Amino acid sequence: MIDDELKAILVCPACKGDLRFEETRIICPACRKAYPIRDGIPVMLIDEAQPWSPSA
Amino acid sequence: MSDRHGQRVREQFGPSAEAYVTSVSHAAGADLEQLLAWGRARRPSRVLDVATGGGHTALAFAGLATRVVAFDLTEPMLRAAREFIRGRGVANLAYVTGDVEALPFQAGAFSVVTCRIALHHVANPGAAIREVARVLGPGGSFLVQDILGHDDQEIASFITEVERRRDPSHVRAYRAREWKALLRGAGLTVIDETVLTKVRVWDDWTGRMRMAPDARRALEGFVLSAPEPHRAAFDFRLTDTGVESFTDRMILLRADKD
Repeated sequence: MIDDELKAILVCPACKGDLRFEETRIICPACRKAYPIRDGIPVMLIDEAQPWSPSA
Repeated sequence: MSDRHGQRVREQFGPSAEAYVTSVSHAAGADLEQLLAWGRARRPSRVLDVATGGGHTALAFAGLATRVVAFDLTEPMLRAAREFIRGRGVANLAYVTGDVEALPFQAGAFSVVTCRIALHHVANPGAAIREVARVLGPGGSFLVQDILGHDDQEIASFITEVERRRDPSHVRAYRAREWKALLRGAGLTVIDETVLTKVRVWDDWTGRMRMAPDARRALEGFVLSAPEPHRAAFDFRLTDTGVESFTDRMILLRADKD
């Protein structure tokens, strides 16, 4: 669970752009990457991100 | 951080997570007290604890800040820290996994960043400290503690070898002037500085990293066969059969963003 206070300061570690928060992942639309949320903890590692596309 | 070095750190610290949570030498001491004293004076709103490990520093700062983010490269370490802190009535702590060389936080998001005994694991400390400086607000403080590198090249090589045999993710410790150059290069000015000693009890120190008995014996052999002045530089105390303890010097710095 990621609270609003944390959401307000989290950015993409690669491009430092704004993120979109989903239930199980965090999307960087600019980099087209999805960062996993595991055990309620955002995993903001570039090498752990999955490719993401707007249609997915 | 290169993926390979990051992987090495995760392999080293993932299985040791619990040992760092219960580590007495990380939970308290004059070093943590000094960082807290510097931090308290800043009356911080938001604090980032980089390489939180067992979470002791994050927990201590949660008592004096509005909000603390505990940050680590290793997921099992962060879960162990959360487990340790859970049930202590601390509601202002959040957890994020990531790499200090690519921090996932907005510029200026924090008034204080802390990092204890960790930057010697980072492949590119210059990049890490630039990232720390980026997420600090104007006038914000970086409170950093690490093993102090020895000025003598041969003695420094000796202790780096000891450290790497125990923990292959150890890169190296930096000298005081190297720290200042790294901080200065990131736009941070050293305001306060102190050096403390920390006694490493051999059983505890090697055990925390799960050294196999034969690797540990080999390391003891390496220490025993080293020139006496090398051992004396770290006050190695020997027993009849091996090593009892040695003493590290820790540098603690407060550097403020210009």
